[in-house]
Amino acid sequence: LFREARIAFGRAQGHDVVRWRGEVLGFSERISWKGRGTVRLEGETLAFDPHQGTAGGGEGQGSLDGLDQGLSCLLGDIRGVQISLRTLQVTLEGGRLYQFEFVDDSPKCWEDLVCLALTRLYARSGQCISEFKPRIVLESVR
Amino acid sequence: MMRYRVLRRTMRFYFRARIKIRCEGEENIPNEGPFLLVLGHQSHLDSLLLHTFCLRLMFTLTKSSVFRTRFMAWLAARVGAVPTRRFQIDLQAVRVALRLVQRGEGAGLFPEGERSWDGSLQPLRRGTIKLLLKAGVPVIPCGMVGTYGVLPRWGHMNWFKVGLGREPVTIRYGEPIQFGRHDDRAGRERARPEATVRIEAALEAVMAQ
Repeated sequence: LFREARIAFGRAQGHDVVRWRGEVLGFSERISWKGRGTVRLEGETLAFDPHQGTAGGGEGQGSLDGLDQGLSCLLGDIRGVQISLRTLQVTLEGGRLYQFEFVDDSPKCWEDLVCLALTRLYARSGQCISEFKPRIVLESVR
Repeated sequence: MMRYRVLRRTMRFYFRARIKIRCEGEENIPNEGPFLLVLGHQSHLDSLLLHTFCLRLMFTLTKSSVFRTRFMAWLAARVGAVPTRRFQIDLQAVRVALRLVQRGEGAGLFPEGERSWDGSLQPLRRGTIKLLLKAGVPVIPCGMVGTYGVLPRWGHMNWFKVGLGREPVTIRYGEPIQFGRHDDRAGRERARPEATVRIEAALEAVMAQ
């Protein structure tokens, strides 16, 4: 499997508390946009490469918060995949949430592709995925 | 709740002008006491129509991204939306849902977890089924027939098209399902497969054209 696309890249950093009548109803994640770049799915790796000079292009961020060199993760480190609005959200180990907003590609297509890659990955170890969200749930194939 | 009631009246006026609304099975909604409503999710309109036309004031578990702007966070919380972080197991949302039913309120859940791409029922999330079993209150299946045609997930809606040529939408409530209370985790896990099948069948029935 191979595909790449231009994206705006964001990461969840902290959350806002939603209250009603003084009671905590829940939390809403705060997404900070880190810049533009290219996301690439290749073999067992999902990688993001920032474009030169676009660090913080999304919302005036000064740096990529440690993402200057981009991000690369193994598919096995992905804990959840889903679409939210026009973006693809990927949750990694430790609950870190990354968000890709595609400039000229379909998030649905990417969701299907990443899910397919994950299915193939786990099938090799005799497991199948019964749920991709909120987290990947594995079952052994009998 | 005052804002909720005012907004409900306003929205009712608008939706009656925009969509030909019909409600079926409203006698299945209890006048008082707790209940959980499970809806097949086909469109953004589902929760709007539920909040507007359900006989009881409802709370619904809503994706947290709706609350990202300050205005929406203020408004949504006042019309019964409870934020749910969908990228993780959101225990706070579960706690709030259970607290609401303990207080005797009605809460709406979308067991598919997201809108359908093609109008068909998607697999139900196991976490939602476990919540229904834990709550132990009547579960009412609800289908919104026609919302997929008005505003599908992949499309747009003409919000200003009123008067003649309104699309029909039927809000259909099924008979309450009683699962009983399952307080222990092992019991919920045992009851989950059968509960999933029953809810799927009930949703298919209320969502039928």
